[in-house]
Amino acid sequence: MSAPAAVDIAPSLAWTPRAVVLLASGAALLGLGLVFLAPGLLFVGLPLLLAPIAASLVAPSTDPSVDLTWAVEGIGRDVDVVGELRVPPPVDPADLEVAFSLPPGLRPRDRPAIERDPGRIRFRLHWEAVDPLVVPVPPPRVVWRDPAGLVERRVTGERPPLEVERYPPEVLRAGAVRLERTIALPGEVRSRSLGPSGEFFGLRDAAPAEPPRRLNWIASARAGRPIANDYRVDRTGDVVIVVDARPTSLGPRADASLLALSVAGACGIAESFLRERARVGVAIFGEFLDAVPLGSGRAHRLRLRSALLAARLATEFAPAERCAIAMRRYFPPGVTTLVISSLADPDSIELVAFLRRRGFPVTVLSPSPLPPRPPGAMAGPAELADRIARLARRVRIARAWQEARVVDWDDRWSLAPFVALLRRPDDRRRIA
Amino acid sequence: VTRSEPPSPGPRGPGPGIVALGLAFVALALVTEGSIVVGLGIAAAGIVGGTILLRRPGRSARATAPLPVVAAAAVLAGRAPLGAIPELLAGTAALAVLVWLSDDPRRPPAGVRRGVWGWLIPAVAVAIAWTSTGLLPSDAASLGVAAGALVAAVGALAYLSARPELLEPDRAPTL
Repeated sequence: MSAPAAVDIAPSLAWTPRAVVLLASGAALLGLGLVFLAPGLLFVGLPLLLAPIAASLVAPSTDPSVDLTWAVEGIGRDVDVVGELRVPPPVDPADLEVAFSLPPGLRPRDRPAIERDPGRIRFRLHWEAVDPLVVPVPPPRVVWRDPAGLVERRVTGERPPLEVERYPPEVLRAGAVRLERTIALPGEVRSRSLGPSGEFFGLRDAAPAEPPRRLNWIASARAGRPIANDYRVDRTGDVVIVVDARPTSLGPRADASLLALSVAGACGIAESFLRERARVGVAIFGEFLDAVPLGSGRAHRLRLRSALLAARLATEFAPAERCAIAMRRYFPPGVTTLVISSLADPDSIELVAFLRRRGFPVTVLSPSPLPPRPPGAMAGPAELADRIARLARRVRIARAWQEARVVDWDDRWSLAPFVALLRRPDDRRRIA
Repeated sequence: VTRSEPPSPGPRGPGPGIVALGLAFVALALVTEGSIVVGLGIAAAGIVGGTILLRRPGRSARATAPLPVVAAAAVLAGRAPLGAIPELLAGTAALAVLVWLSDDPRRPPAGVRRGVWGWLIPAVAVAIAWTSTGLLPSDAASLGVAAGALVAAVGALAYLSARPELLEPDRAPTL
């Protein structure tokens, strides 16, 4: 027989620090009043001692249940989190205190707007993404608190997860790149999926936001309503995205920032290729290799996203050859490989070399650790140091070019050079 | 990568709480022994200090906001002469502190109305204590009665402070 499930019987009603201050003050005044025989002090202390008790008596008898519905709005760097908390009676929304946490990678753009109506609390948070990012938004902390702030009670309810995604706009076009195939006779195996490109399959009613290029104008004119083409989609090929999550000489803070940017880039690129029905795999190389094998579809998208969001900066350094050896266990050689690495250390360049020697044609997307330099922002020694740092980075990227094609991701809100490079055929690979 | 708090909505303007607090403290200062100017100065210092702390966004600062106000009330009550009216004004000043706390400028308005039981129950206790001092024959007797009641209250408070769940209703025994 299994043991009964544990039930949470922890008390949810608690004094606040302000109540403790009042109780301590009241007790102190009581003592002083008795010592100095001053009834005035007793009369001051009595209400202070009773106030927390009175506040406890008027608190809700059980934990209030408040359900949350929320969504992310805004375009580009602007992130607006809009939501509503449904507050069932008899709880007064004015007695609920709502506190929000700012996820990493976002900064406030404006003060939050919180409106309390009978039965609900509506809020709109105005944030701004510093860099491209994929980050979960922690649900707001909601507590019931009496108006004097002496007693608080836990608030339960549904808190659906929410994520903020912001990518460079060019990432939408990355999936249209022709990829290398790694399965036998891929053209003989037709996908059953319908999509935006491939062999013509049939006609259907156009969706309201249908791109004009997909509309069949002749059929639309004949039918008198918008008609769109459907295509039987060919899988274009396979792609593996390798995220370098090893520590570098830049320090943990810069490494964490670059890893968050790398994860966002990997998420955006993976989604773009999955949308085109390509098979996508992900490998995160920290101390060891965490890999999600090649696959496609909606469930695979969730697998990739979960793996990428779980990526953490490794605490121990790992040799680059370990990654190359482990990659062969999960992925076939010849698969198009995108390595996202800051190339801050020589060992990062070695990772590219080892992967290439193991048969993976590598293209490197390198998020730059150097901040964008506005014209005329620096002067004197600071400008000289900045110029030297940029020269050193150019040298590192030039060295990496000896092993693979490299894109310096210095403008973090643009992936146009990367997409353009992917579209170009890799001449070096053909010669090899 | 840092995690920080987003800016919260700013504090509201002055409400009825600070008006009640000001009136109660001025009345108490007027009956204190010694210079009225000193009494009014103590009252003003307490109110200003408490209001500054209450309007700050930090949680710890807002938790300690009652301290300057209570300290000012204690000093004024200690300077007040023995008598029914000063005792009533001392109790009223303490009640005004509770009303002022209910009118938190960083929380939705109408806190005084919503938190009426939070200051009305102590007000009833003050009324009972003050009435008993008037009905009993001597000041020493009233002090003894009040002290006995307060000792019992402090004992109960200490017990309840350690176990606040006693104020919750019983949970259903079934899962």
